[in-house]
Amino acid sequence: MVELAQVSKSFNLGKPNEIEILHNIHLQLSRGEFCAVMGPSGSGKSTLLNIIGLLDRPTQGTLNLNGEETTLLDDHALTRLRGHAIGFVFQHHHLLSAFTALENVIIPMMGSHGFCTEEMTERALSLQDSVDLCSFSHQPSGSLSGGQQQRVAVARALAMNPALLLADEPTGNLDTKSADAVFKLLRRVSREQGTTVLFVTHNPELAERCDKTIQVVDGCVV
Amino acid sequence: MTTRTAPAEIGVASWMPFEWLVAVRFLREGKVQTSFIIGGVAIGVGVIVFMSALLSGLQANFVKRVLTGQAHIQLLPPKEVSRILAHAEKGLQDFTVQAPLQRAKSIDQWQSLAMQIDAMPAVNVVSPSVSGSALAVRGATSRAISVLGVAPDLYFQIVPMAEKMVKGQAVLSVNDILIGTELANDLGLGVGDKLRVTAANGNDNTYLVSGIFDLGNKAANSRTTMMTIRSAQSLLGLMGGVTSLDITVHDVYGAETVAKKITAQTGVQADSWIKTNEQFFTAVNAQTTANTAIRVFVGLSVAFGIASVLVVSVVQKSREIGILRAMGITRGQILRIFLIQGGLLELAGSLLGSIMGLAGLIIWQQAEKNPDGTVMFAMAIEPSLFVSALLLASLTGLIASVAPALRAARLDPVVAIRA
Repeated sequence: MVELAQVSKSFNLGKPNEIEILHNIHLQLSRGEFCAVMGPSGSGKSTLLNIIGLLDRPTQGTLNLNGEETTLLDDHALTRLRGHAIGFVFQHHHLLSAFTALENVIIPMMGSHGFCTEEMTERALSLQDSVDLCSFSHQPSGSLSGGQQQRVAVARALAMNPALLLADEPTGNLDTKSADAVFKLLRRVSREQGTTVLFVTHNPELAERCDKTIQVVDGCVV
Repeated sequence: MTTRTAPAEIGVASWMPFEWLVAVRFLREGKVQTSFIIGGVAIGVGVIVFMSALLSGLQANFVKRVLTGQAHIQLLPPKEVSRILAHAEKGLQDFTVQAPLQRAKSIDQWQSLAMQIDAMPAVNVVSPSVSGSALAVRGATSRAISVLGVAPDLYFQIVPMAEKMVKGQAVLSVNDILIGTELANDLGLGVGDKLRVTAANGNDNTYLVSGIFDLGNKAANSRTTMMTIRSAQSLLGLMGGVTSLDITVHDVYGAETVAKKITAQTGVQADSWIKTNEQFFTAVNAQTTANTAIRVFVGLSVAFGIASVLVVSVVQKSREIGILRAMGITRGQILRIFLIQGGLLELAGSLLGSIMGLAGLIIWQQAEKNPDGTVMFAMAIEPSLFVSALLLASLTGLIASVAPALRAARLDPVVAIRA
């Protein structure tokens, strides 16, 4: 499903302050696998997620996604692939405040097709239902609580039915109860839809409940 | 049976493209910012609409005033010049050449000339006339006058005398004369009174005042008189001759071109109203240049205003742009979102500005009036002015938003999300 081989990432290439953040990463994730990523701040977790999520390119190495070598794709192809195959959940939900909760879920589908259709509306309502937020669908996203906003962000990440879901500390800003609800939601999605989930967390209890845990230390997977 | 939920039911119009929806929502979200820039654009467009209509009206009014009292083109006989005999020049020393007297004389072959000009497609009316100086005498009082002999059916198409009549009618038969208001006052004349006119050559005749006109100029009203062309020919001793051919053309602004064409075809000097009113045209051109300069600078300031607001908007929306890019929204779509915002800001601003400009014009017309209470001049309020203002403003908005839109499209999603 996801295969990284000899991936390195450096910033400020060719400059005196050049720095290598990731060193020779090898990683394989299978379909439906729920994998926790742990590591101290600044260890390179987010950079790793950005590369797997096709938001950034590795300086060296290859990244295969669903059997497709992505390092040679141009920006447009990467964007399309990202839109269809990958969903993101960020630590700060990052909902679009100009839209309602339901519209936030529709946006990725609408962006892909150009217009809003009945099917999109139906799917968005169904996703809202699955995250137990149907009654809040028409509320401005900014008026929801942190836990509710994060659940909308999960629904939005699932809108395009992605094969890979990248969650960068999605429970980091939530209370224990909300964090548990979000974790259970992601776990259920992974189980029911066969979505591969890469879940960055600092919470060892949550990491223990994942299929496997990757430790990133000083830019290396240990 | 499952119930379908139409996009409209959740507040998303199904006909609205993605980029338009996002652009409109972004603008709506920053209400204060959007209102201020729309207000700025509206003031700029309002100034352009107001000034354009005002200056167009002013120019149209000037042209109308100038052309209701004169022909578009006038053909006059060549002036007499003194020539020194070639063989006598060698033997002459310390000589002066005296300017010859400009006697009233006829245009050579004027009938065939008039027919030739009348046949030109650009020409509307050709009217022959005879003019000369004379003395109007009534009792012990006399006034120097200018006699104009015209063919009423032709000349009155050039100068609408019926509109200028104060008393009597613009009708001329043999021995009828039309006089100005000042001359009528000076000589105590009214419609139906008789007036003796004596020409410099000693000819004289008595005419019946059939009407009194007001040309809108005191000097013209005290000197100008009109009679039939035959009466004038007889009085001025120019039997069968005419001293000028007055011409009107279909396109008043093309008069100079037609005049040059007439000169080229006939060899007779033809002067257009554009040439004889050169100062007026200099003023018109200066006004047009000033108006264009104002429009350009107002347009530029509006464009920079739009660009600066969108640059700020791109900075403010960096995170949203990053999120959209992470969701698979392409650079092209981001570019279009910001271009549409620029176009919409200008469109809304120019619509409001057009209304403001129109309101300004109506208020100006109500406030500025002639002493008699009539409108100072008709304003050129044409739909094309508003349509062109809208199109030009929207285009300006699009162009102004290119740089911010490119900046938004080029944002690195990782950096943007972290912003």
